[in-house]
Amino acid sequence: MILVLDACTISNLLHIVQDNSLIKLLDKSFENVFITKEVIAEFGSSKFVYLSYYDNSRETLNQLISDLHLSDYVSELDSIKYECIPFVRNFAIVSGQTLKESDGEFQSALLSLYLSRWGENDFMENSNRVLFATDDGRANTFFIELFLSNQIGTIIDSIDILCIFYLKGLITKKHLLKNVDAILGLYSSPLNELKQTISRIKERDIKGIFQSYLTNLLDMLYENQLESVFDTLHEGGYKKMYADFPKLKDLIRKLSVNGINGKAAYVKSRYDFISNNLLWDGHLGISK
Amino acid sequence: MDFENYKLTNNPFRISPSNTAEELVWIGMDKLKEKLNQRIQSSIATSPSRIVINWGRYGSGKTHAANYYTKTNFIHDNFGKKTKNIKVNLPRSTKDPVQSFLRSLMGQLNFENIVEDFGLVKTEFKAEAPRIIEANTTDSIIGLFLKKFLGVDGVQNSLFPEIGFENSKDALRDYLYGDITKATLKKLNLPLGLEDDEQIVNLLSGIFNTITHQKKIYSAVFLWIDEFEDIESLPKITQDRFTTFLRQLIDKTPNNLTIFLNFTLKGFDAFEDLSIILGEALASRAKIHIDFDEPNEEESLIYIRNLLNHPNFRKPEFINDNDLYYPYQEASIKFIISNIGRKSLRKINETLSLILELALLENPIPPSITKEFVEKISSEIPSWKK
Repeated sequence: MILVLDACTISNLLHIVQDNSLIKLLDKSFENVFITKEVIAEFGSSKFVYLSYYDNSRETLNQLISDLHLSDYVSELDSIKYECIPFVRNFAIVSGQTLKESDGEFQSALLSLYLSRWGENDFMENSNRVLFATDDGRANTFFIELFLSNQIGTIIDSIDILCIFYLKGLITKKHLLKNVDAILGLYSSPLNELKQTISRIKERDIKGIFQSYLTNLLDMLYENQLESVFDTLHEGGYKKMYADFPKLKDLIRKLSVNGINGKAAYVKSRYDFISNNLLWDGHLGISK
Repeated sequence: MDFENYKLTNNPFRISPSNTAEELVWIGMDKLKEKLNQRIQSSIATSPSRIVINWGRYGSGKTHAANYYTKTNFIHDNFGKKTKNIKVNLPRSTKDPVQSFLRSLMGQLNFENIVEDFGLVKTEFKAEAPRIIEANTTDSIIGLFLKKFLGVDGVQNSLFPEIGFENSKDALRDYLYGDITKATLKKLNLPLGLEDDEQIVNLLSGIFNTITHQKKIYSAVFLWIDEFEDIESLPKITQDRFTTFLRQLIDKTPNNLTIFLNFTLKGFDAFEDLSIILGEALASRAKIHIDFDEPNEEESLIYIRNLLNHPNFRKPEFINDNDLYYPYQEASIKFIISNIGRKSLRKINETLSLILELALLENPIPPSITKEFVEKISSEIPSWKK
C-alpha cells in the first residue's frame, strides 16, 4: 500500500504522542509514504498553528520538525503530478464541486491519482493501492468520488492509520485506544477552551441574568447539545451578552464553522467500536 | 436591592459558590450529605488511603461540597476529630501541572501551618520525632529537609543534636516554594532541590504521613481536587504525568489520605470511561464514587424553603410556618421548578434569584411572587423551557 499524507494528519500523529514515534511507524506499515511539496511547505509555514496544542517550546518544535526529514517523503513523480490538473478540474465541474487548487489536499489528490497510474513497471499497477490520509472532513467529501471511481484507492484518517499500526502489531490495543482518546481530546480542545472561558467570566461580578445565560451554555456544552449553543447566536438575550463578551461569540462561531460536534461524535463512535472488539486482529474467536 | 421588603436580610439564592466559612451553609440535600459524611467517618476511623470520585452533572453542588468540607469547621464539630482539609483546583493551561499543583497546595497548606504542625509532631513524639519523620519518608533528602522543621521554633532542640538547627525559616520556605539556588541549598546543607515529580510526591507524602502518624495529630488528610474533568483539556502526555503523580502520591501515602476528585459529567460519559481519563492504575484505586444526583421535586422544595428561612437570610421572628416559601407562593415555586428543565441546584438558585430581583424592581413591589407574575416575566428567564 502507498500512503499520501496530508498536513493535518501529520499534525495529529505528532500531537497525540507529543513526539515523532508514530510518524516513524509509517515506514514500517506502508511500502511507500509520500508527502507533496505543497503540503510540506504548508506545514512548514504554519507549523506553530498546526502544532499549537503541542506542549513544548518553539525551539523543541523546530527540532522535532527538522528531525522528521519531511523532504525525504517527496515522490519522484511529485513534479509531474500537475499533468492531472485538467482532468481533476473537469471531474470537479461535472460532479459539482468547487476546488481550491492551492490547498495541500488538492495537490495530494493529484499525486494520488498519478501514483495509482504509474508504478515502477506497469500502468495501473498501483490501482486501488493508494491511501490518502487526511483529517480534513471537507477534503474527504470532495475527493472520495474521484478516488473510488478512478480506482485510485481510498481516503483514510488518523484513526485508520492507528488501526493499521495495531493490526500490524506495531502498537497494542491499549495504545490504540489511548491514542484514539487523545484524538478526541484534540478535537475537544476548542470546546474545552469555550467552557473555561465561560467559567472564567462566571467568576466575575456580572449581571444575574448573564450568569443564567452562561449556566445554560455550560449545561448545553456538558450535555453535548452544540446545536442549541449555536442557536443562541441568534437569540435576543444572548446577543446582548455576546455584545459584552465578544470573545465568547468568536469561540462559538469558530466551533460552528469547524463542525466540531460531528468530529467528536465520530471519534467517540470509532473508539467504542474498537473497545467493543469490533476490529478483527486476525485471531480466531473474539479478539480481546 | 431592598430584600427587607420580603422579610429577608439578603438574597438567599447565591449565584456563585460561597467562599467564606460564615457564608458556607449546607441546606437540604440530606442524602448526599449523609453519603459524604460516611466517607469522612470511614477515613477518620480507618487507615487505608483512598480516592473518591464525586460524580455529577454541571451545577450539582460539587464545588460547594468541597468548600463546605474544607473551609468550615463542620468536620471537627461533627466528628470531634482534627483533620487537615484542603481544596485545590486542577491545574489547567499549564505545561508543568505537578509544579502548579504543588504551588497551589502550598498556598492552602500554608508554610506557617506546616511549621506549626511539625511543632506539634515534636511536642507529641519528643525525641522520637526525627525517627518518625524518617520512617514516613521514602526519600532521605526530603527526610532531612522535613526534620529541619522540627527546629525552627528553637524549643527543645537539644533533643536532636544531630539535625543542626542553624537553618532559617526563610531558607526552608524558599526551598519549599521551589528556590533551588546554591545559596538556599547551602544554607540548608541539602544536596538537591525539589526538581522532579517524584521528589514532590516524596515531600507531600512525607508531610501527610508524618502529621497523621498514628492519627495522633491529625486523624486524616482530606484533599479535594475540584474541576478534575478539566484534565481532558491538557495534552495527553501532561494528563498522564499528572495522573501518575496522583497515583504515586496515594501509593506513598498508604494511610490516612483521602483524595476526592470532583468530576463533572459530560453527556456521553460513563463511569467506565474514567479508566481512560485516569489511567488504569489510578482508576483501580478509585473504586468509590459518590453520585451528586439532581434533586427531585421534594428535595428541591425542602432546599428552597430551608434556604429562605435560614438564619443567614431571615430573622427567626419573620419565619411564618404557614408561608415557608415567602415571598414565593408554593404554587409558583412548583410551577418554576417544573419549567426549568433539568433541576440543578445552580439553576434553581440562579432562576429564583433572578425572579426575586425582577419582583423587587416592580413598582409597586408585588406582595408575593405568584404563578401569574412568573408567567408574565417568564420570557426574561434564560432557563425557562419554551
